[in-house]
Amino acid sequence: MKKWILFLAIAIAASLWIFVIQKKTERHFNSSSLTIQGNLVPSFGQGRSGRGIAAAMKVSGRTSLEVARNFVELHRAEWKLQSHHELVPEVYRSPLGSRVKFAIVQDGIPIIGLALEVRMNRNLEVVGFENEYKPLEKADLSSPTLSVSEVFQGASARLHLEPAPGSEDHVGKILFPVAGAPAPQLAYAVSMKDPEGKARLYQMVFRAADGQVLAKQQSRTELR
Amino acid sequence: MRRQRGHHIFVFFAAGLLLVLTGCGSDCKAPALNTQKLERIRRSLFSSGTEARLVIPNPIDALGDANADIADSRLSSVFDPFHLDGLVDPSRLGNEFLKIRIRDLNDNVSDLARASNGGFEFSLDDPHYAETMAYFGVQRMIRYVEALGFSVVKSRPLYVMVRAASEDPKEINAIYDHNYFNPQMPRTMRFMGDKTGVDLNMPDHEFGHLFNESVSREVGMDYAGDAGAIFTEGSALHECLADYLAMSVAGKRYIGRWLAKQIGGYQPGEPLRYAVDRDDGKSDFRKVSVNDGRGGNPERYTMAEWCDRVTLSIWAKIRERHPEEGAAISDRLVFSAVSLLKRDSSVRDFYEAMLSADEELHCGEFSEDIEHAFQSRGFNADPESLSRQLQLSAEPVAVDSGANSRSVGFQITIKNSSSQTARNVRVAVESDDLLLIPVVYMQGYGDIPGGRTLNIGGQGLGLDFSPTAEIDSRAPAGRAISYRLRLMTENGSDVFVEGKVTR
Repeated sequence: MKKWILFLAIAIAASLWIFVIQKKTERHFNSSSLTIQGNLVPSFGQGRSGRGIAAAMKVSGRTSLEVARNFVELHRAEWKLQSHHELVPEVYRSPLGSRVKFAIVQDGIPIIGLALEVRMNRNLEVVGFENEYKPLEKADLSSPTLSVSEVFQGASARLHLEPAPGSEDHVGKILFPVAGAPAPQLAYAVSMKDPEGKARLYQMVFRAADGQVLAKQQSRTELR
Repeated sequence: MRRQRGHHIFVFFAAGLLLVLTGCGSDCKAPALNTQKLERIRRSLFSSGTEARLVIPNPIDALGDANADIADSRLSSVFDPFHLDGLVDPSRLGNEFLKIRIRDLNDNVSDLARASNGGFEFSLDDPHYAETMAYFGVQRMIRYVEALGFSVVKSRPLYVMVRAASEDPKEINAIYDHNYFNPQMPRTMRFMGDKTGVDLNMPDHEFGHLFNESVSREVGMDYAGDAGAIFTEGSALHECLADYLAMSVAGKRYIGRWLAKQIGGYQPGEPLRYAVDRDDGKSDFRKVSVNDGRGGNPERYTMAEWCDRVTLSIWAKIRERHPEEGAAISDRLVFSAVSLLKRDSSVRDFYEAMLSADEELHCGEFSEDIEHAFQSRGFNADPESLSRQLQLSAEPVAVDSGANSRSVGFQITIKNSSSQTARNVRVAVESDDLLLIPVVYMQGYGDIPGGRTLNIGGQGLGLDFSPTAEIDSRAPAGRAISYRLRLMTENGSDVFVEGKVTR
């Protein structure tokens, strides 16, 4: 009789354990940002998709970078990774594990907003990924562009902004996807400021072909 | 006897099986913390490196006098010696990642601080003092968070300008630029004002912004705020988390006493933000998140102060239970949660991430403390669903003027006919037409109580609270271009309004 009671106790404990593990996994993936979102982010086509993985996945590799690279290679065909896109990794470590984010680059020029991210736990098992990649066509880098000074002139006239001090020396060339366009557009990223305002800076992205504003970001200030 | 022995074997086997089963669930063991090392770093007790003499954290707190200033003669007795680690050149402030400047990126190196007599020792009114404080603060923070188990993104250098150039010579401010889009630009911190850089709070807090971006994998936890939104919950989180790190490392539950004195308008000794509950309305989420519909939009710094009180109360609870390593446990927990955040994060996202991180690191040991910290301060992670859908109407309006006018904003009306409060209301502009380019793609309006109407761009909030888009210069004149406005709330379904604008 006592043996049966003990058997029952063990069975209950095992069931409870399985239940607790399930709940942990649910909460972990629910807050792991791996959900499909709508097209809230401008110019990035159809938005992001990501996925949790039902069970931690062993992928070969001795470091998080190796594991992430191998994981991406496993999905190369499925994700339609293009041969003209290079994947440049950045590793982010935390006590929960590591994430490797791959920026997408064409001919040395970064393409904004197309990153791939692989998440690993402390045991280097893959537990999730984020896929912002789109199989965009190769951007034509030989088409005519405005000079940086022409872009600045246009911006000054229309937006009442002027180049931030030293910004002419730090003009970034980037490729910027635009919703509906098959290839990203060559753009300049430059720092500008309000000539009559305070020290807040604006990072402006201008289409290189004609100076059209494609995006804007501003400084994070402690006081207005 | 044999029967008894068999019985004992069975009991031990069953007990062992039970232990194994329950033990198998314990993959939630965080790596051990080296408390002594963390404490040495936190107190900057490095044993080698060029010496610097600093008043930590600032004259007010060092002297315990709300009226203290940089010319105070008593300061000579509160300079403390520290060793600066990580210097590439022992006579110069900087290393491969961290560069200290005075006015801007292109400062002449010969104008920058140089060690003399084996150390960096300057009076507080000398810009070289602020340079020294900046290097000390940021380098210490980097070492601390790395010792906690986090990496700091160093794909580009960080430049700190301690008396940054400004059009307004009287401007007082501290500014962080992550420079997402431009790979040619470093990350920058700029302190405006001759006395701003004297305070250790400044580099500590501003480093927090870089660290937030780093830990959250540069996913854009406040992407909309970066793009120009006046209010988002992500922006409040960004400020709160930068405060949290600075306050935790300092062991203080307030921030910005020195800066508040420089700005003026504060009581003597009053800080910019308190991380203890006070009877000022900022300990109740319902008060800091509400939009009153009459021009009173929630404010990022006010919500940040609420969040400071939540996070520091969790910190205090953990320290009660673990007096020696509680601060480090809390820091690791909070920023492990940040590592789970996504683009345009909300307070609810952060709350859920805290619980998840706690589950993974501590098997949920602090879950009740986390829930209590949020809920006792008015936050409900699961508010009642709206009984009626929000109503949205909008008309496009030109934001700029003239023949080349191409920026479009919207006059928007949002009506909440439910009896419930609509949580975290946001409006985003979208388009499937490549001739319309969202720029300030989303704006946040906080919580709209039941029965209330919010107007933007007309009466109520100004047009600068509207999302905006650019009509592409390639659009032919007269071409009708489609737009879509999406109205979002956490406890209701999305509402859409579509229309066309014409160049």
